[in-house]
Amino acid sequence: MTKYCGENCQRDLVLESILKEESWNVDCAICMEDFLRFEETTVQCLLSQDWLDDEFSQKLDIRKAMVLNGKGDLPVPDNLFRYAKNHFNSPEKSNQLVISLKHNGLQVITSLLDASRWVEVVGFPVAFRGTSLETGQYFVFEEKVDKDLTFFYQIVKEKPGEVYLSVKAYSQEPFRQVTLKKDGRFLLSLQVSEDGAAHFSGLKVGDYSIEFRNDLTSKSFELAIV
Amino acid sequence: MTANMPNLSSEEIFDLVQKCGEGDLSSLELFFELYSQDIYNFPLKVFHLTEDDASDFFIYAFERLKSGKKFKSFFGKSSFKTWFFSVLRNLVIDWKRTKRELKIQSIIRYNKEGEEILGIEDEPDTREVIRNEALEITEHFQEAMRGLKLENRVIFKLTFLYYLHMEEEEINFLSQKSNKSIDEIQIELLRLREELCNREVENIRMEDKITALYLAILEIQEKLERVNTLKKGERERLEISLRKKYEQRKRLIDRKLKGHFLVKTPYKVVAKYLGITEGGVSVSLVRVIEKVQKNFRNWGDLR
Repeated sequence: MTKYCGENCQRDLVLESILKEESWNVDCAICMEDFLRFEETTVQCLLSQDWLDDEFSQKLDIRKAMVLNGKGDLPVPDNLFRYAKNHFNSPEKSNQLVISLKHNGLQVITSLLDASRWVEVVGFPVAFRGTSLETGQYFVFEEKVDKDLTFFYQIVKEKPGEVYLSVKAYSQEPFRQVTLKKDGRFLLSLQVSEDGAAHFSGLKVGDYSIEFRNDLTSKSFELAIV
Repeated sequence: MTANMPNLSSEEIFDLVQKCGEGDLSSLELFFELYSQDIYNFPLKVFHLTEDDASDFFIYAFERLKSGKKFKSFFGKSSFKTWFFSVLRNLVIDWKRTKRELKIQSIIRYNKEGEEILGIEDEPDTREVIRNEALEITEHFQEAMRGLKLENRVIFKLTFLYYLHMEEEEINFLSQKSNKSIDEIQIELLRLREELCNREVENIRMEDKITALYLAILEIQEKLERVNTLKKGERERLEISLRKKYEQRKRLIDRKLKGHFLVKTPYKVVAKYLGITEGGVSVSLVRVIEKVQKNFRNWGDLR
């Protein structure tokens, strides 16, 4: 229950200041606290609300699209065009790591990842290759393939147009060898380090296939940099 | 729709969508060429997505549309746009459901003993060191080149034209020796380089073959190590195949080590330009290479 702050209640003043886009000259802590709580709740409600999928909403959205069609369109980024051009022949992707390089960092296309096995790992950033990193320049993901096999992927945009990828496997049976292919062509084969990690630097735009192998099994994953 | 899109009639659009539904690749490519801008802008305008999310959606929609199956639902009863925006709207809703926010967890993890471990260890960045070393070697190589007699330098550069650029002085020299104008020489050198490019393609193919053999060897080795219960005949067959692959690979690697995978201008062509014999080209090259190698050895000792 909100505590009433008395005859000098300033709640109306808070709202008026916001509506007029004026600075807030509110000195009542209770009114301000109430307002902030109200604002926070509203924003959370809006964020968590799913888009409506009823007939009326559908008609409204399509009408909106028709009215706005061709008006103030933004151009499709070149890298998306390139992705489309180069992937017509490949099978439909349902669990692939796609990284989009942008001017100010990189973006991981998460809609193609199987959310039941991928987890984004955040927190204290590892001192990647001695480079100081800003948010948006790197991502760390964990992929739990099964109970005995987990991969960590570290993706860093080190300089324009280049990505550094580090993969570490936690497996009961350690992997020995890792091979990297680009656009179907073999690039290199490395021995996996004793701690199960392999590092690839200078990865440019293209489709990569990375395969970890040991005597019993192999695990490969696809990475597209666009 | 894209601004410079050709004005297709309703019938043409209907035909295009029908062909997309049949999975016709060129029609699908044309469709995406024409309507990519709509796919990208639809969620921006109708659902107020950010540009990052619109990019994510674009790739999702492309992956779901490229097979052509979704195009089969267009029968021409409603206008193309109404149908297309409905498809996009359904895709946005699917995308939103699919794109559950990835769970987030701390990077700090603990092993069974309760010790703190990091997901991935640090890796020192050695690229700058390697790059500087490469620049230093290149500079020294150029210096060694400048120390050669003009004729020898031209023979060397002409032989390895695919990798090296000829300076003005060297082109003038070739022009005098061959009684051709500088323009003619330049055009001929460009053509020659184009031919040499084709040889490089063949070399890359051979390099790929070495790799393919290496991967095949690994695979056979794994099979042999893994399965102790192989039938006698099968084991022998695998062992023979392994031996053959080793031999093939060795032959190719030997050729590579002998420099056969280097793109060289035929001695006949070099000799013709300079008015000397093919043997003369060969001897000059041996001398130049020896001199450059000696130069590099001395430089290496000094470093």
